[in-house]
Amino acid sequence: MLAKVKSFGLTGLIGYEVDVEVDVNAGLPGIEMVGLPDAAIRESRERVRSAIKNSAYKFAPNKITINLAPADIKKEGPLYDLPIALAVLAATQQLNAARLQDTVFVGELSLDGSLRRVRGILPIILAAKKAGYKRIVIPYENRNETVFVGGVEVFAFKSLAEAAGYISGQTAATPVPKADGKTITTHVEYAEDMKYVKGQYAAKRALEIAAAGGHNILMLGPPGGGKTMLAKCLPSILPEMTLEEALETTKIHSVAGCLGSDEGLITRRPFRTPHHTASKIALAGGGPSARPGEISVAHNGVLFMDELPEYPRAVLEILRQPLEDRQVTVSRAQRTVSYPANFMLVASMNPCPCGNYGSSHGECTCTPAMIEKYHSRISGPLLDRIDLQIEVENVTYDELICSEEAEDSASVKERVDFARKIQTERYKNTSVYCNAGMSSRMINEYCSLDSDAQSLLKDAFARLDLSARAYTRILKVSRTIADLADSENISAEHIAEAVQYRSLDRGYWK
Amino acid sequence: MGVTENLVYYWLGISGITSRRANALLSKFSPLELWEKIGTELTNVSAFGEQAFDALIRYRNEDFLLKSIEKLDNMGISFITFDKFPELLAQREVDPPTLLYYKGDISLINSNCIGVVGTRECSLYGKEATYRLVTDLCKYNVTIVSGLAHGIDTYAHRATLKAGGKTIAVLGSGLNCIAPQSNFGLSEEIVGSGGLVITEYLPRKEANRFTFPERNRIISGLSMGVIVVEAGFKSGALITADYACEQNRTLFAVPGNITSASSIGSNRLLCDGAVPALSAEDVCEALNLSFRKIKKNTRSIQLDIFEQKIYNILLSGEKNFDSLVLSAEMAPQKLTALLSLMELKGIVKRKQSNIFCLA
Repeated sequence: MLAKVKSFGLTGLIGYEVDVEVDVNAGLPGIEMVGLPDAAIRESRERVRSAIKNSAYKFAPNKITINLAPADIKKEGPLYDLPIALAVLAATQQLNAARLQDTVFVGELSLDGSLRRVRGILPIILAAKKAGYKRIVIPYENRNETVFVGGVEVFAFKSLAEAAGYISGQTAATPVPKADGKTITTHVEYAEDMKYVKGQYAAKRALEIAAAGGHNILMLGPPGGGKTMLAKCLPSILPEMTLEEALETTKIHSVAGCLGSDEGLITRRPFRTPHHTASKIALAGGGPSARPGEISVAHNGVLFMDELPEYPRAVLEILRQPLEDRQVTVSRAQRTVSYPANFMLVASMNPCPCGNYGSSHGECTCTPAMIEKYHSRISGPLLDRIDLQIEVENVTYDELICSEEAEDSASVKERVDFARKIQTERYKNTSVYCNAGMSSRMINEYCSLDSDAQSLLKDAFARLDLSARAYTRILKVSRTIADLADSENISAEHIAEAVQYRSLDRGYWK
Repeated sequence: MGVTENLVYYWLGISGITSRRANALLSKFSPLELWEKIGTELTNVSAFGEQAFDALIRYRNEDFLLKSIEKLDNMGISFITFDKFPELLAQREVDPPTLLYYKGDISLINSNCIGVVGTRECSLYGKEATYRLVTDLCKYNVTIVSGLAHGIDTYAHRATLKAGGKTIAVLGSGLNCIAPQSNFGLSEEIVGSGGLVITEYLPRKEANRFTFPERNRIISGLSMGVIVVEAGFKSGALITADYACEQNRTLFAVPGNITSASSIGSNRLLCDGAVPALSAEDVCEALNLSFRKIKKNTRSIQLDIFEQKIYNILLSGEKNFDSLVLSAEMAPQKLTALLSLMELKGIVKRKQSNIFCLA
């Protein structure tokens, strides 16, 4: 007897249909599995056998052949346990096969028959919806991921018996209720708030600009200056995620397996802090199954790289292409996958190996050659992609005990939101969404300077030892400064502020 | 084509005999006479010294000499022989070589030179002091001489280039083996700016631990005075200081922190009688150069009310950005823009770590 059940697999973030076919014949008892299964799927025969037995069904001692079609794509992960088990039940006539039609099943089984959480539910549901399926059965623990996808009924069950009961019509079930699809109203609480950062006016202003224009930022300063603290404040002033952004980020987190079970949609912008021992693959993504890396997990959020020169040069260089293209393509022998990687790079570094160069609090013990070597670990092309470079100095004791509370993140965020709104309007029909992403043509169009600003910029290049690469960076940043000030034109004042955010370009490092 | 005097000088130079001996010989014979008669009429070896005599005989080959000059020419390298050395360099105490190879403007060796030397492992203070002194010295139209090493030497050259002055780099290696390699670009810049890169070593001679101390005598030899900006306990700059004393040059030292390891040597020099180099004026006065000072440009700048406020705050010393925000009671973004404008007007200067001071 033959039974067919629909399921889905994933290549990167793209889902594809998988037919799970089970044929039960008389013959020597045994299970044969074909269709390029990986080890996890191959082992599912043991889970399925026990789960069926422990769910008060019979597992007949017959010759069972399982095929996963299409047969030429390598399938992986334990998510086919549930469809296989149901197909076996249908093939042995313990379940009405007709009711299995038009429904997609995914889920991992445990030996006692309960359903376990799997990775990648959100992209699978989106793919199933696109393929025209109306009903999907998933593990109960994955239900939160699905509430924002409308137009498809999702049933979440805790066990094989529950799922089988629903199929056979013995037990009634209601689909997972949908959340209001238009807005994400969840108020997001962040652990760090700008108001707890004492002093650091220049750095806070720079962060505000970075958040408003989506600019990458590098903080330079002695250890203990509060660079990490400042970076952690950044998510609290970034604009809320839109539904599309949230869905995209959740998809990646779902595939990467870093979504908590109570987490439905990710509404908090990701803040990823890979350690500097991270490998190229950990950052860019890869492995045999081409899983997303840190830069994709940080999609629509912040990638914070503390102590930038401590990362191996080869690891840093892989950032260059994603920073430009806003996505990363991972090619492996088995598959080629593209993941979005639209993150804001926030980096911090010491000015020299000992950390005290230029500091007023300690004497630097590094030789000029050591400092030069330290700085040369970060390549020019990478620095080219960082718009803001600021210095963060240690705060003084007086500032620390100052009881006056600084401006809180919420009011900074208001200004950021305002500037972003202007940008959304400006880049309405383009692929760009904020000032940092402006192309050369857009810079020409949107960053025209009046003669005052023009002559000031010329002056600045002549007198402040700015390098040529600073030019477009300054234009982009001054565009954001102008947006924050609700000014249509970039004035001399905006340029004057922007030139101060090019610390590494300034001659005093040479 | 007969042998020219110039060729004879080159011959004397490349044979590697000391300038003292060469001068002694030339006081007895005219150059051409020497060329003609050596080995034939002049066979009294003891008058030359055995090694010198052998060397002179060995190199006495017109073809070889002409070819070697042509080779130098092809590499873009010129040479100057001891007969054309300026008075200071030709002094007996300097013990100058007979031949110097160079690229750039050789007339600089006749200008007023001041040596600026110091340790490779300098501190931020050393860098600042070098820039300040050198920038001001350039206003007196002096040429800055240094050794193209890391640290103070590099800063001395860079500061001169920035100030639009002239600088001479004396190498401890051949012109084709510039050490440290990272300063090759700097050497090109020096030549490009109308400066001079000079050495006593053959173009392909690699630097070694002996050549650096050796070239120090030329740094001090070219200079009227030598400023030691920063020197540690055993810095090579102290060797230059020793040479400067031997050669009767005025020795200056920049006072440093008594707690700073990189100022131990230079502070010791002050104890031993070096002139404190507190400013370019001091240095030039000690060298009687003050009459050459180019008039300072003292145009007055009109400050607006905000600029005046910042100016007044900075009068009491440098301030970091945070304390400026607090004392000026201004919004950070406004202050940033204002400081930029003041920086462009040349009123304030930004240093590392967001510190601002009056220019």
